[in-house]
Amino acid sequence: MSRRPEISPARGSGAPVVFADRLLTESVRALEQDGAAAIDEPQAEASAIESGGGFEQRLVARAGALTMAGELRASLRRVDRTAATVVAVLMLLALAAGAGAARAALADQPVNVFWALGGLLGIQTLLLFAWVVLMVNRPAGLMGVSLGGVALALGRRLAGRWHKGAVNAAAIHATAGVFSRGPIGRWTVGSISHGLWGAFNAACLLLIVLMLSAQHYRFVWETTILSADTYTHLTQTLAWAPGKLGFPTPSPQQIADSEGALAPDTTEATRHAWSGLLVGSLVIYGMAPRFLLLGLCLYRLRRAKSRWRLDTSQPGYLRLQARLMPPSASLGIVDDDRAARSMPPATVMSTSAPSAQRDVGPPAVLGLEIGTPPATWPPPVDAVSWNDLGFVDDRNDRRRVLDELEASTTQPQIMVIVTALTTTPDRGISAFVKQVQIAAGCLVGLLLTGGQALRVRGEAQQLRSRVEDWRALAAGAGVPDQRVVEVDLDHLTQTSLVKLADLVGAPPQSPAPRRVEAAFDLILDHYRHWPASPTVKEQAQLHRAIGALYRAEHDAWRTFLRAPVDLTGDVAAPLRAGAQRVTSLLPPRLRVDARWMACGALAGALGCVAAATLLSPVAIAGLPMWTAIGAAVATATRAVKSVDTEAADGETTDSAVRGNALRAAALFALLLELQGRDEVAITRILDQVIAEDAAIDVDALDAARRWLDDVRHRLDLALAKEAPL
Amino acid sequence: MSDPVLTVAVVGHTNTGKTSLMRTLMRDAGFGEISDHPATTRHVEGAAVLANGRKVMALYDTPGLEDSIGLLEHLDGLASGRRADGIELVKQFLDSPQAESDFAQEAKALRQVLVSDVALYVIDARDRVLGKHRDELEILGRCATPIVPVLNFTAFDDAKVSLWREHLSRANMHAVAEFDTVVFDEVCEQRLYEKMRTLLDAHEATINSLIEDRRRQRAALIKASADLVSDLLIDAAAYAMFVLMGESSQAEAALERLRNDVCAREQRCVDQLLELHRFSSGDCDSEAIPIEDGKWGLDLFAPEALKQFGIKAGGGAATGAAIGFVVEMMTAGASLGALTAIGAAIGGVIGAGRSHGRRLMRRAQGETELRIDDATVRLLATRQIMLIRALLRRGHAAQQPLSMPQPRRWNLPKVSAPKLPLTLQQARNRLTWSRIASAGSARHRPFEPARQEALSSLAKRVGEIIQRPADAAIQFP
Repeated sequence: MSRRPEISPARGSGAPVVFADRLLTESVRALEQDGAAAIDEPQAEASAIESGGGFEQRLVARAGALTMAGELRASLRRVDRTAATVVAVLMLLALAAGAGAARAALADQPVNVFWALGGLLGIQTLLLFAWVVLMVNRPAGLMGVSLGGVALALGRRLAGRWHKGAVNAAAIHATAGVFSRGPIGRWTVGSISHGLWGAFNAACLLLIVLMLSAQHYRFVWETTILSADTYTHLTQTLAWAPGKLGFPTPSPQQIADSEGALAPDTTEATRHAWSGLLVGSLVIYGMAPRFLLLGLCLYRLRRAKSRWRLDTSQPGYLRLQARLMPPSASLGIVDDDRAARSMPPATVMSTSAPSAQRDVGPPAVLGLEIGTPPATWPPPVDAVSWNDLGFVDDRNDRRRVLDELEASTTQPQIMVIVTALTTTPDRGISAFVKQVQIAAGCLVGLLLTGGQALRVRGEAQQLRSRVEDWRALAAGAGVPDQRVVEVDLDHLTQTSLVKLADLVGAPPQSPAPRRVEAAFDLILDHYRHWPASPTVKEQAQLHRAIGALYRAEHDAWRTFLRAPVDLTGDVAAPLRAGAQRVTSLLPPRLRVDARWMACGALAGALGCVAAATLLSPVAIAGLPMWTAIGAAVATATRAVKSVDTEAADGETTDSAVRGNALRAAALFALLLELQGRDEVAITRILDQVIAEDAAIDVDALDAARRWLDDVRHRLDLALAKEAPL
Repeated sequence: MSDPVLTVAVVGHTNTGKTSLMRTLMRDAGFGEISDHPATTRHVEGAAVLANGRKVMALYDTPGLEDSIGLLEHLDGLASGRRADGIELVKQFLDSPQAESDFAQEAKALRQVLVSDVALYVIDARDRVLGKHRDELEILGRCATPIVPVLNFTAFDDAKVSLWREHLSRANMHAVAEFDTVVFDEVCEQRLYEKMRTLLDAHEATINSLIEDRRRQRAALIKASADLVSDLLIDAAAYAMFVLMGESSQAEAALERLRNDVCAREQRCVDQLLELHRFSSGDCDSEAIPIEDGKWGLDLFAPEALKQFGIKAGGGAATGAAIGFVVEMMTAGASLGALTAIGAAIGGVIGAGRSHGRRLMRRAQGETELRIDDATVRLLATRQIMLIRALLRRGHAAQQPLSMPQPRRWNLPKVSAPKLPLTLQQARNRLTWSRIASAGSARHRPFEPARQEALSSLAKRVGEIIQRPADAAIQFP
């Protein structure tokens, strides 16, 4: 058996990787996989990287360089010795069995030739065919039932019994894993099987020759139902091959003479002939194929072992790839930042000394790299007529604006540059702002629009840092902080209008009075009269009543909700948009809550209805939009509802409908009250106002009142924290 | 093996994700510095991309081109009065004092472009095509280096991919690559390399070897991940605890131990997966199905966990409060004994299949087997597969913690629990297959060829599920 792996103690780097090294690597993997933790030895990894070569070679190098390696090698040798012992013991058993079989075959006098041959060769020939079939078909798992497979399993068990401990277990795991799978497994099993049968046949043959030499045997053949001719043919067929090799074989006459127990004791020549047939058959049909196949198996096993490669896609190996064979390596900084040191300090423009001998004209405005004009252009400020310089995109636009400013006979009261927050501020823009400042010869203000678009893209954090970047750019260009304002021209609010007016120096408007208490009273009043499950129409009445409280700002919140002017034609799209508008304002923690998404969508859709019907009172009951509202709510909640529709479906109880209606109305009232603040502020305030009370049952009137009181209380706290409008 | 190393300059406007592209191509989340601010990278930094341990490509990250309008004006100023072609002017500019002061960043980038075989021009596809972009392309075009425009952030809703493509083709650039550095797509990466190949005949072999290497790496990664999951599943399915019928406290303790052991085993699998995909546990966090600090937010045995993944609790276990377990008994109708004390909760399932001698003996002694149920095994499988799919699609430039896809996109069909795959049913009866070791469980044997066979065939199955298209249903088995 050539199962003994030649373990090379220490390989120099670059030496070819041999089977034993791979086996060692496998045992390291087994140890890391079965053991408590992965082995982390940087020095072994370093030497693996140093050894170079492919991933497998590096894995082998690492395994060889581990401090465990010596211990593992010793353990592998122990396992190997155990395997050799098992095979040796089985060999002895096979020899004994062969001798026993020979004794049994020649036990009776006279010897029935065919009976003896059948006994000695029958089973093993059948098993030989079975082995061939197995080798051709390779059914998974059946290998274990062959003689070799049994030997392997036995060896594994015994090794496990005899050698305890994690290291030994790893060695057993690796050895067993390698020798029981793939080509190596096949040829190992074959080698053991044929080796054992070869030993069986050898012992058998030796004993038979001995017995034939030392004892007198009479050979006969018998039959009851077959004809003598059959036996003559059979004998001759069997004898053909031994005869060719020079074994004496019986002639047809001798065959005929040996029929039956009644035949007289045959001549010496006949006995020799029959002995020759017996021994020859054993050699040709028993021993020879086994030894030939043993040779083949050993040769193929050797080849399989030298061809065997580690499966580097094993998780135990692949996890090391980043360290042993990284997919990339840094080349370092090639071009050091010399310029940063020699960069001239940003020249701060003096804003206090405009080079102005010109008359002061109306405020000027230009849109810098904002592409599609905002919904409201130029920015609407009461009692201000802009000097609109248009939009600036490329070099020609820049030239045109600068020329226009320089050629102008008046100096603008303020030069407002509108830029988009989705744009990253860069030096090109900074340079242009400076140029505009010089050309205009007046104060420059920076108006940052498109905040909502950026918010949709990412998170609030991003918006804040982007605004800071723009402020930094403005500071570099000499624009003071207070003249950098964030106003989303696509979503104008009361606050933004105030901010705008402030920027261009228009008189500020007085803040609106607080009406949320009245709105909440309205809600409670409706709630008291609602049936167990209020219809959408009843809820819409409430929303319109709340809207009426904020009639003065109707235009603002209608724009805010993007509500249609009237509800004719296709209402599904605007209602859905309104629903989305409100849900997008909810703080993130509520946006994953199906219930609050539903409430937000309801508030948005019903708010649209309220906005559209407030000025031109129509009988709400007559409006054809109730399914549209349901659809809008469903769209909003679908995002959160996940697969688990059962929970949400199960919630359509009366109390849930009532609770949601209450929440939606409260949300709507809060939104109207918070009008005039920008979206971030609204979201921030809502986050503080709506507590983690999703589970509170607001079914009972008292509970509803308590909940609303709580909300109002939190609103006071939140508003106190906010800067005054 | 002496294919020339390909030199690539990564250029673009500021804050378009040049360093992110570097990180993703390098598979190294630690390269350079990334932020949402402009001009985060202020120097040229190189990185070698290795295939099979060999350097095949040198990538150079450059500072953003910020003032292309100003620079082009400056270049045109240099040209005035004389006839000079583009590259001459660029070289003249690089020698001028402005290249050290006003346009220092641009000069660095252009210097790198001039010495590179190809330039990747990174575009934030969410931007509109502006004058400054046109001028950038104009300047780069004068450098006489092939340019492959790379559209980044294409996974965003407001990406204007077709607009950009149209514009780039007007600028005579037709080999445009789409490559989102946050949402990784291996097909896009391969296309990017292919686009580079079309422009670079001399480097065809190099690029081919790179493509081949990346493809192999990914296949190995998927296989290894599937192996890890299959290993976990076999461990969990084969794991059983023996409890004495008469002892209620013992049964409760066993239940607790079983629960903890399986959770710990799942956690080990998650750790291994994260390590394999080179992500740290800090990268994972999400609102929907959270992995927080490398841990699943929702306990494996929480009833909602099953629902969240669209798995119906099957069989007798569904009725119980102690969901996720089954008790196997000798005969139907045998008294649950003390186990009923845990809760009339636990449903009983009659053990079937082959019993080994030792098991029979233990049962004969009045012991009962306690193990996790099929639905929980399926939940384990589904969770790990989801995690792997999310990890595979995660770019190394992603800065936000890993979040699992929104449940609605998983598209889970609502079917009643199918049977476990044959290999796992087999594992149910081979207690020694489980490597989870604890007092009261069967002892694991170091190596069993049959377990190995089962693992291979199960891993093949898992691998197929992992590789299903992004929007396909994930249902195990």
